[in-house]
Amino acid sequence: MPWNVGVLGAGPGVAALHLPVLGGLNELFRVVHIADAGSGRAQSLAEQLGVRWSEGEAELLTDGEVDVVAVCSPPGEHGRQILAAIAAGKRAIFCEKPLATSVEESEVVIAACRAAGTSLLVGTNHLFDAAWGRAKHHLVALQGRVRTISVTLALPPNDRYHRVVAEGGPFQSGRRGRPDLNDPAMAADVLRQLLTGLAIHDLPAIRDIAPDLEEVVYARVAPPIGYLVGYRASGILVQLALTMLPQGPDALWRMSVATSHDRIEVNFPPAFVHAGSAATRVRSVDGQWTEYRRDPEDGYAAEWRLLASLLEGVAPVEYDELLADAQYAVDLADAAAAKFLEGVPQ
Amino acid sequence: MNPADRGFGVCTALPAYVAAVAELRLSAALRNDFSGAVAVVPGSGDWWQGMLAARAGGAAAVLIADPEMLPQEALESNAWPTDLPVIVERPRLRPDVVADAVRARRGSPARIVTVECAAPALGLDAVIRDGLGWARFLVQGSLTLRSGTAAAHGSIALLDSAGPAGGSIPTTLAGAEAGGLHSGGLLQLLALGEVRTEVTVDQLAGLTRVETSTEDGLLRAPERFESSARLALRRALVACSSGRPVTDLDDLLEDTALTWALHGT
Repeated sequence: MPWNVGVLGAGPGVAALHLPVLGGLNELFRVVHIADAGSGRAQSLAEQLGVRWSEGEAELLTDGEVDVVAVCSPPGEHGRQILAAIAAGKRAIFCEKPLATSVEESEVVIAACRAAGTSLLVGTNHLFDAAWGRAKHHLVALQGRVRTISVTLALPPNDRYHRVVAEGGPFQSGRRGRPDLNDPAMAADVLRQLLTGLAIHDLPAIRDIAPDLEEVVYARVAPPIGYLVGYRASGILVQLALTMLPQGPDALWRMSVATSHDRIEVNFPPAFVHAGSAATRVRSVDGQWTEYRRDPEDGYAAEWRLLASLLEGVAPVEYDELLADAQYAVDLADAAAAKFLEGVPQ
Repeated sequence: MNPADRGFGVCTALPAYVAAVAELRLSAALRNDFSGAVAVVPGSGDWWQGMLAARAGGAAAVLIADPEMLPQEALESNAWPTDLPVIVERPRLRPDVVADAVRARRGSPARIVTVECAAPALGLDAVIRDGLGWARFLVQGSLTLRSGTAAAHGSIALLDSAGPAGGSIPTTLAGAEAGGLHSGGLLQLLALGEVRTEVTVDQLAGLTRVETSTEDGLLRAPERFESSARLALRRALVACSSGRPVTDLDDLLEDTALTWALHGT
């Protein structure tokens, strides 16, 4: 029998991503309830699927049919809603990234999940991408010493991809206007949000290789919206670059790992679409390039499959890893924001 | 026909250049002395001494073939020639390939440039130097080092250059020591923006690739089949005949100084 899912949130990520993914995994999951703050989108999405809908979260949490709560609301709500789902006795929680917005909140959430035995998975989908799994295996098996890691993102507007996986719109979250990056405090906040909202897809994978954050070397906010962050962790040099473009070529989302004897490049597909796993290629020191096949399943489906395995007790919930991932992201974001402000003329 | 009439004199014993002269049958001819000729100076060892010796010997132009990294002392202490054309052959930074990359952007400025270099320790600085040269062309201006750090076997840096409307274009650099015996290394650049340029130069793999992506798709520049030596020699001959200034040496010194500056971060 599939597990019954209640979804908190009804934004583009739910409409264009999680509902279709769960539809494709209907042997494992069945959406039974959608709730949001009252935008009307939850009702629209639920009626199309013929499931219950509600405003606020109370009704969904008291819905006895809901086994799994998918927390897909704005990041500031995540911690509180997870605690509410635990209090309501739910079996498992899928939380869109980030887990929480502070280290303290992350600790509280993880402690509560652990105490209640609630399964928890955070939707940093690249971590679950089969291609990354193979790349990590390559790193471990060949014992190459990692020198540098680069994650480079160049992203056109998401609605280009929403339109090929959803219908009807609106495909943009509520727009808040372009932030004033000339205001240092606002720019630092944007940097922090981008790191905990976008870079976070790859930070758990980076933490696997470079776990101990030592120093942020540089941090810059790049107009129109983007960042450049360089840091050192566990003796490894890491660079993160993002530019969000009003138009341009298809999304580039690339992680490169340079080791003592090869260079591994993982090219993730654009967000929202289902083009299979990332594409991986390796260049060895003798100049040989090897390209590996794509897995037909992407990280979005893989993360939900893993949640099913957690529910069935086939795989353990890695509470300590989840907490460490959350801490890493928050610590990096805080340190980068501080570094950025350090460089602002007073 | 008098051999002296066949073409401009080229003084070289480097096989690649002897071959290049043979491929330029109408415009070049081998000579045994520097006087009035294009003097090809091998880029290994203290090549700058060879360059100065060629000028003293009356060369009409000097061509430095694939120069190794210039030591910091030599960079700072030498009086570099300004009275004759100096052409620098940089196989990782071929002018024709650079022109392909820049032209394909159709004037669209880069928002961010990333440079990644990997090579055995002895050759890494030269790969970084040429990577910075690529970035200089892609941002169409000089780079300034803003921040950087080095670990045991790698380095990262943030640089920038003047951008449109008084803004700046940031460039990131990552250099990593790799194993292996070949010093050629791997150079990969991305110029991100409404037009995206991706450059891959892998000498060991015999790969030079320039790809330009827009909303309409991807354009891969045609492979350049002319040898790097022949291209450099042609440019030297044009410099001699046209009298137009050549900035190769200034560019090389600028990229070299920046590479050395990275070591000081």
